[in-house]
Amino acid sequence: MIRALPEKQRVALLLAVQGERSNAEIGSILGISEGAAEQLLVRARRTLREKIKEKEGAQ
Amino acid sequence: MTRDELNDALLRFGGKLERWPQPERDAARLLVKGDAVAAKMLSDFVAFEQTIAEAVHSEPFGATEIGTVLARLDTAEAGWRPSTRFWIASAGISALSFAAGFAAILMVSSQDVAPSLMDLASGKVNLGGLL
Repeated sequence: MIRALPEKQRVALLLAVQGERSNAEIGSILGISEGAAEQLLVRARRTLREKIKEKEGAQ
Repeated sequence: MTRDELNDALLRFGGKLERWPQPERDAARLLVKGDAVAAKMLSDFVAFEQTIAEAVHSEPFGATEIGTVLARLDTAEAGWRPSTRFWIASAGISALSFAAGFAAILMVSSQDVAPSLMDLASGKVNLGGLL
């Protein structure tokens, strides 16, 4: 499920979840602004949450 | 803070309130304290992130993907470090400087003026009574 995310969203999410990095740090690592990093995380989390809900609904 | 704002903030900052910016954190804590639905939103989100964390840890995802992330972290945290090319270039410049200095000494020592300059410098000779 996480693998299906676009690469930047996936890396941003891993940095947040695994690396416990702040949005500013993620932005710095990826070479983008803090706001852009936030948007990557928002899209990644929203997508995953919807997919998990769909999966739970199907069971 | 409203429930919608809490939802947006959860998506932006994640489920750990202690990592949120101060104003949003305070507002969220206030909301969660007095709103059972908001409190459930928060606990559901924390559970969701736990699911993600477990998925990240599971094989075969972790091995390659986390390696990539850690490599990026290492690169970002290391900052500038001298590369092999830097050291080779430095050694080359040092060798050239040494060779140039050595050549200059040979050129000077092969000319007649050198001993007289050395004598003058050491005070062995007195050029026109100047010393």
